[in-house]
Amino acid sequence: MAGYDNTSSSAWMGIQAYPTPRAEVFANLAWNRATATITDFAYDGGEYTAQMVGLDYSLHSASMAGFSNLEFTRIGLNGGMNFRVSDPLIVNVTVDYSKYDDKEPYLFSVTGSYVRFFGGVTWVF
Amino acid sequence: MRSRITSVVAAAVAMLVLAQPLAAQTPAPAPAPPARAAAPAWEGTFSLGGSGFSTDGYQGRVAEYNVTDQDALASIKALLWGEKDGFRYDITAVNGGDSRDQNYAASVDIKRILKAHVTYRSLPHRLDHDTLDYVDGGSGLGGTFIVRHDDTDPAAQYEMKYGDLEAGVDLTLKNLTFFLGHERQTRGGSHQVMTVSHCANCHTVAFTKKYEEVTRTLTAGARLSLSAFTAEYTFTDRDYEDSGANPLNQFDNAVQPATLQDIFLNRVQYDDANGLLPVSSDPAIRKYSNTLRARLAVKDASLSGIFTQAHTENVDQDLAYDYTGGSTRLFVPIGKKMSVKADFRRYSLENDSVFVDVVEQTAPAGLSAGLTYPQAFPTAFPATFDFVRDSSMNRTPTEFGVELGIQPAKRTFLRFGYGFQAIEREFYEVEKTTTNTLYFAGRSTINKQVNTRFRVQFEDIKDPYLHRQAAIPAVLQPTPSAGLSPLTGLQYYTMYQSRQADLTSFPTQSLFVEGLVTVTPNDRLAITGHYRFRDSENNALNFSDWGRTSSSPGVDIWFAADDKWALTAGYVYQKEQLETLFSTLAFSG
Repeated sequence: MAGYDNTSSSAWMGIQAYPTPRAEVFANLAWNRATATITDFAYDGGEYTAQMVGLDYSLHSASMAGFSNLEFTRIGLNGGMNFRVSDPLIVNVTVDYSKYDDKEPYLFSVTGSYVRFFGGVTWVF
Repeated sequence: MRSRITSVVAAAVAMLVLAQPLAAQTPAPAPAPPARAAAPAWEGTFSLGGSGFSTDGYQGRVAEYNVTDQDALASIKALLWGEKDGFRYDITAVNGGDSRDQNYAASVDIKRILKAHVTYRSLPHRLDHDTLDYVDGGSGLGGTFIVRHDDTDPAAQYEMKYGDLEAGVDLTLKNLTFFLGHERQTRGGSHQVMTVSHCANCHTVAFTKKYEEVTRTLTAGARLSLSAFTAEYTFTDRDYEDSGANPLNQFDNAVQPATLQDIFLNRVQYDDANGLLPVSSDPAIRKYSNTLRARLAVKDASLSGIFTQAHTENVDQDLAYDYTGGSTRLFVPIGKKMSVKADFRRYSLENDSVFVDVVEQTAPAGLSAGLTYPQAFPTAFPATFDFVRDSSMNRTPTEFGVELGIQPAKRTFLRFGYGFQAIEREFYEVEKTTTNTLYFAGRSTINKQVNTRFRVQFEDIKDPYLHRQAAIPAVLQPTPSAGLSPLTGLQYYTMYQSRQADLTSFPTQSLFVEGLVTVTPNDRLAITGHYRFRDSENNALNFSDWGRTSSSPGVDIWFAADDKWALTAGYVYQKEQLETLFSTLAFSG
């Protein structure tokens, strides 16, 4: 009997604060880690007395047991501030960071990250 | 005043970062329209901003639905709402500086007689590009006895732009409401498609195919609302079409891979002699449905029902399937602290049978020259491979459920339920699957500080869906054949026909347990612990057992020390274990 085990851990945290009557500060974190692996894959290429005729690779290679293994970590950070300059005018600033870390690529590595800066103004009427 | 300002500002920021994965956690909800009594004729917000991006590595996962491929983008957002003399309106416009990042909505309500709305949104969806580098393999047999690939567009970056335009209008005349809606979904861009040539070699070829998909949906109907009785009829008409051109491929010449003799044409339906053939063609689809809903309420008891008839057609191939089904629910209170709920549902799916006219070619040379494959192996096959494909989708499920609800104490509610389901299949080898379900659920509040909720459910399934004789062929030839002739040894069809083991991914028994406890010691702190567990197994297979177990504990915390700051945090862990028979074939040829 073979098996396939997978796990995932997810954590998040958000903080919202009002240090002054005119300012709001916020920060958010999201984190996720997931793994998957074949278990009890009891094939042993050594049980074959010879390489299968016509093939230039072992039919049951050691890499087969881990072929579908997966592991990745994803993290997202988001923070910013809204500040009321005057009655109708508010300034907004936000920074986002996100990273996907593919520690055990399947067909190809999908590791990547980005940072986004945002600045703007809002007029309330 | 401060909370009002905070809401507006936070909502503005939240909308501007709508495409970000953390947007759902930004601190403030969208601003609600003002209370009717104090509503001014117009108010709103107007925002201008700019974004700068820095990226690294593959963006197909980390920014799968985000625009990050521009160095800088200007964005604009406007909200406007108001009310005057029974006329209410609400307008939202968000443009992230890119055609793939837009969100617009407008709605009006005229004295609750005429309501109309229109929305449009667009977003990108990055798609993977499989490099196919891992498939290649060689052999010592010579010829083209290899596995290889060709990617005809190796530098392509695939992406689909999704757009959704939706509009609707409701006209209410006393107790009768007429409604009309239209939706137009578009998918444009490109994605990767593949095909494979056989016999001469295993040759995978990848192409770029353009998306030009349009799905249109028209909805019309009427709703009657009386004091104790409501009824609604809805007609839906939907069509789908992809006008993107199909890639063309000339498949490899079907020759014997080692000797390169032209003796394998009778094993395929087409090869290079057929010239360029289309790859990955999507048929046009048309669907319509009629749905009738009704509900009768007498005091606290109610009886409701739905009947639906739908027809879905592959327009290009003139194939169709029909859905006809209905469901009903009866709810009857017994005194003030008990109730009974009963559900019944039955539907049928009928899919057209298809006559598959297999193109049976003759071998140009060799021992089978001039013969089709069945003619070459008359003792193994019928005279022709033509067949009628009857659909395994054809089925008639019947479901019944009854639930007893009681309130044994103040703020405590318990439910006991039983469910039965029978799925009868017209053609599939598992003709009938029956499921019996028992569950016990409840919720309670203790001293206004502790909230609990739980559910325990057990299912017993007889004859679940499975694939008969799916694996473990008998060992018919343990040693390699002498020579290079494909006809001297075990043939693959003989091996496949000798498979013995049934396989499935569906259980015969399943247990599900979940619980949740929230403790609120004061107005500024709430802690929630939750746990979910499911254990499923199938011990009725002929060669092996199958099982899947998952468990998921977690905790959430909300804490606000004072009016100046608040914190939310949580953690969830999930572990799933699957056990199944795994069988690989030792077959070369």
